Amino acid sequence: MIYTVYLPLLAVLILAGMAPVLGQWLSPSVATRVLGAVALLTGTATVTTLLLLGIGGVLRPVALVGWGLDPDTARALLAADSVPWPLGAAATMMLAVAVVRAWRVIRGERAALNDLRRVVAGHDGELLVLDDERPYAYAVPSGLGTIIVSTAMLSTLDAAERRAMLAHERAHLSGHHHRYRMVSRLAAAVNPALRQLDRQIGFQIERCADEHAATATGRPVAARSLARAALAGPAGSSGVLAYAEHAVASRVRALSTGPTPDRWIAVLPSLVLAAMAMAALADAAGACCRLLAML
Amino acid sequence: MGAPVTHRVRGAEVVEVVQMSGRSSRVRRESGALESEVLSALWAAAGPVTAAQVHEALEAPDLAYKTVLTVVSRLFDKGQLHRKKAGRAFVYWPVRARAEHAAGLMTAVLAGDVDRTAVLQGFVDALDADDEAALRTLLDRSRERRR
Repeated sequence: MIYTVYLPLLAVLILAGMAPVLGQWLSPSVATRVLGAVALLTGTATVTTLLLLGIGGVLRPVALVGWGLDPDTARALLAADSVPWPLGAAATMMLAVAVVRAWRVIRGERAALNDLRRVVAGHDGELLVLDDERPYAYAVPSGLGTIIVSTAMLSTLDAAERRAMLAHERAHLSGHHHRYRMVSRLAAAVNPALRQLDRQIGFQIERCADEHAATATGRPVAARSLARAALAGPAGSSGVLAYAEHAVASRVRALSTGPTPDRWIAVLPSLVLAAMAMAALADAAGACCRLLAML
Repeated sequence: MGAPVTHRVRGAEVVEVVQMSGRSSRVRRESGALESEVLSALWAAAGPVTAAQVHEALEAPDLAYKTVLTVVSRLFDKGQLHRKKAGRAFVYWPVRARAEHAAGLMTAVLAGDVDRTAVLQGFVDALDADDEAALRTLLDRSRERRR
């Protein structure tokens, strides 16, 4: 247990560090899925490791104090390699913080979605136009999904550019992109080292939707639409998956060049690391269960 | 596959669909997309326009006029458009009340309380001067090419 419980944390850090490389070597839709899986795994691994460290750290003080344990059990527990109690205590505190932060993310997301639901309530159709002089476009992932676009955004773009913008937002809805973002936000909430991964997923989601727009209208129109929307002015604080956000200049540049081919070999190191992390976690969990069984 | 599948469609309408390799649902999505395009063209128009003018504004040569007319009528039936007789044809323009109401609600969401904005924001990427210049160059270039 002593080594295998720390290995997943190391693997999580390396996996998070590899996120930008994966983004470069994979097409956006594949990168979104792979990075989503990485976020799910690293987030879960973080929580599990903290939990195991917490349990392991508590056992030794319990054995020392005795607390209704028979002397043989106490001796056996002390003999077993366990987590030093200060580390266990730190892990427990970090776990508590992680749970609170994750809960805040979920609560915030729910509140935002509820507010957005009120905006689209009773509307029948895919597109809801909002009479607003600020240019914005959002995909609201509730029910079948609604695209909300301000009148300012519509008048900024020409017919083909509007088609690109609508295709982009539609891609967010049909691809359930908000789920990927939710997973990556939660992962970043439980482990601040995963913030970079969260940002990378945010970017890849936008790139993925941009590629759908490019398929619908051609790359030059999609690039033009995005550039014009970005220059029309800041969209203000973001709702869920806004159109002209997330490193617009890089996205326009990516649309100006050809599509990225998938180089699957890039996934291999992540797969190996993920497998190692899971094996280490399983081993540590097994050791933890054996210790608990002694009680 | 092939068995009747009940789909919940926007609003209260429930439609029985025989799903064959997902084709019918794709058709529905495409008709929804066309509706969005027509609606956005009507909003972008300077004033009331005929279905023929909408057809022209869409700049989609492969799209039949009759299809646009059908979509415009459907939008009118849904209460999203006003219309009046102008000569031999109808002119249409969007209903503003709902759009104004929704914009008001959206402003409240965008303003939000500090906490929520932090959660929602992800990372907002302000355009720096270099990016702005690059984007302007791109738009200028595409304008020249279109000429």
